[in-house]
This record gives sequence, structure tokens and C-alpha cells, in this order.
Amino acid sequence: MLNTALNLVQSNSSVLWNGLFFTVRIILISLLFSILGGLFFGALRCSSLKIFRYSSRAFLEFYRALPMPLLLLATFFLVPQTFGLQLSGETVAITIFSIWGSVETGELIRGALESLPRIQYESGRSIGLSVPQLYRHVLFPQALPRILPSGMNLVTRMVKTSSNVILVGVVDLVKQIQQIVERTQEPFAGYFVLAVAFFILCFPIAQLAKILERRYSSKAGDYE
Amino acid sequence: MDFSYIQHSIPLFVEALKVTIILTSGGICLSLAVGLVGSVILYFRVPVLYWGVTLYVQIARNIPVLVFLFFLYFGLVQLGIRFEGETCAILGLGIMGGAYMTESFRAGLSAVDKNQYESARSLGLGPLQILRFVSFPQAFAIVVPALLANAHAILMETAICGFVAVPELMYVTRDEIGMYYKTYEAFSILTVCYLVLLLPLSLAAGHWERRLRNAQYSS
Repeated sequence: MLNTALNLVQSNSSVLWNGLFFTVRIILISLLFSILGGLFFGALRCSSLKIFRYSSRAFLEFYRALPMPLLLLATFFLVPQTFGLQLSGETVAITIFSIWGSVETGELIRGALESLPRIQYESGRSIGLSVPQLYRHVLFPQALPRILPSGMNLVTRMVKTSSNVILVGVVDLVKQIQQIVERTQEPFAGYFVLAVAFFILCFPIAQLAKILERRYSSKAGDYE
Repeated sequence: MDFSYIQHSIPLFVEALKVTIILTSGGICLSLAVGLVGSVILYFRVPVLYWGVTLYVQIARNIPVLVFLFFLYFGLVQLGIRFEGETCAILGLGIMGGAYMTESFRAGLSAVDKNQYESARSLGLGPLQILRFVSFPQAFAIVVPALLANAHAILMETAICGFVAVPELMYVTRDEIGMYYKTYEAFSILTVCYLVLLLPLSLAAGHWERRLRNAQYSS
């Protein structure tokens, strides 16, 4: 069995690299947008204006309530039909993942900022820091360690969810393997390779999250 | 909006809704069972099984459900193991969800105060009795939010079971769109269906959280 799998990888390596490239590219671009969007969404979630707070909360709940395949397919079908825009599957995937990432990152940022003791905010203000300075030098440096582990987990979730993009016709790793399986009639080896590929992508990130979590949770007491 | 189309297609969606409910509840039950067994094995550090469960959790957490479903449905045929689509989907959801449930239960068990364990020992309870009467009830109160989040994740994952030919909501919607091209109508019904499915889960979440918070305080 292992031999078949190795053969499969060797004889199709260029196609597989191509699929992996698409998968990784979608994730990296989405992550970049997620970080920027997350800062924006986090600001909305923490805003002192009720309307921003509640509407962003409602958006978050709505986004979480619907399964990813539905969001992908609905965007893929409805946006071109409604606005007459031509969207490629990849654009749809990146858009949906970016919004998802932004919403979740924003929520992480809000959670981390709210978990900081209030005294941090008050002492910062009382030594004469402006609000931007306060965030830049006091709050964000302390919030970051609390965001990072869950942020890493979000990345692995995104990698795993990226398998759903075959729904909108993106030829990613999953699709490439499907095609190879159809050609070679070796489903066992083919899907085994696919599982191993995802494991190799996700496992290091998950481990890193665990290490970060352990390191920062032992230190968390210092900040209180 | 084409209301005659909606009227005509509602029975179809109700059928699909039933399938999704079966998949979700089957997946949740199986994953809870797997999670309980797995967490007990981790808790007692059962010699060989401990490594088995750790490996299982790591593998299941780092592979997409879709890939696992493909493997179960298409891959195992080569070894002569053939599942019905629905069985395969429930197995896939249950096994993948089981890893998350194991992690949640384990986290709950390790969050129970060490004093509780020691006091129970000194009262003369055996390990299984401690688990049954002391550790689990308290751990359960801690992990209910996590369990409900896992249940929600399983519900979301049922949307990809269409790939292994299970006629659930997403599959039926794709079918309908392919046939009639009533995209707005189909997606509206689909969205309503998922929101309806989510409602009992979030109600349960609120209810249990309140009940268990009281239980924790009174202890």
C-alpha cells in the first residue's frame, strides 16, 4: 500500500505541487486580509457606539450560523447573478475565507482586550498616554500572547476548511487528488496521500499553538 | 422570488432536513461516546491505549472531515469495505468529532480541583466511583459550552456529506439549482433550514449554561 502511495506521489508530483500551491495561496492571501480585517472588526466589536457593537455582533453570529459550503456556493451563484460581476472560484474562496478570518480574529482581539485587567487601561491613561499610545505600548503587547494560540488554531481550521473550495471549482489539492484517483483507480492510496498532506500542513501549526499556549499561560499571572 | 417554486420544493427540503437531522444527531451521539471512552483512557493513562488515543486525536484534529469521508467512502472500497452513504457520513462525523469531544472532556477532567480527587480517595471511593460521582459531574459542568460548540461544528460539517452521495440539505440545494436555476429561492430556504436547526442548539446552550452555573455555585 505504501509503495502504491509513493508511486502515486512520484509520478504525479508536478500536478500535486500545483494543487498544493493553490491551497496554500488561498490560505496565505486570506490570512493577510484576515489580520487587517480583524483589526477593523475588533475595533467595531469594542466600539463605544452601541450600533457598531450590536451590528458587528449580529454579523458574527450570522456568519457562524451558516456552514462554509453554503457561504461559498451562495456567493459563487448569487453575486454574479445580482451584480453581473464575473467571479472566479478562487476569488470567491478568498473573499469568504477573508471575511471569516476577519470576524474570528476580531472576536479574538475583543476577547483578549476585555480579559486584560481594567487597571492596565486606567494606569496607562493616568501616566498621560494618549489612547493610540495606550493601545500601542500597553494593551496590544499584552493582548498578543493571548491571541496567538487561538489565532494559530484558526489557521489550522482555515487550512482544513480550504478543502471545501472544490465546491466552487477551484482546482486545489483535493481536486487534483480526485482527478488522479479517477485516472489511476487507486482511491485508497490517493486519499491516504491527501490525508497525509493535510496532516503535514496542519500538525506543525497546531503544535506551535500548543507550545505558545503553554508558554504564555504560565506567564499570564505576571500581568495581573 | 418565485413563491410557487418555493411551495413546490418545500417537501423536498423537509426530506433533506430530516436527513441532516439524522446525520447531526448520529454524529453527535457517536462522537460523545468516542469522547467519553477516549477521555477516560487519557484520564487513567491506560498503558498502550493512551498512546493510541493521543495519536488518534492528533490525526483527527489535523485532517479535514471531507478528506476522511472520501477515504471512508471511496478508499476503503479497495479493501472490500463498503459503506452506505449515510453510515459513512455518521461514522466520519462521529470519529472526527470524537477527537474534539475527547479533548473537551479531558480538559474538563483536568480542570477539576485536585482536592476533590484526594477527598474522594480519603472517603474510600474507588477510581471508577470517583469518576462516576466526583470527577465527571464537575467536569461536565465545565465542558458543556465546549461540547455544544463541538455539536455545532458537527452540524456545520454535515453540509459536506453531499460529497458522499447523502441527500442532505446542501446536496439537495445544489441539485435543485442545477435543475431549475432558482438560486435566490433555494438559498433562502436553505438558510432558513440551517437557522431552524441551529435554534434548538443555541436554546440548549443557554438553558444548560444557566442550570450548570447554578449547580457549580451551590456545590
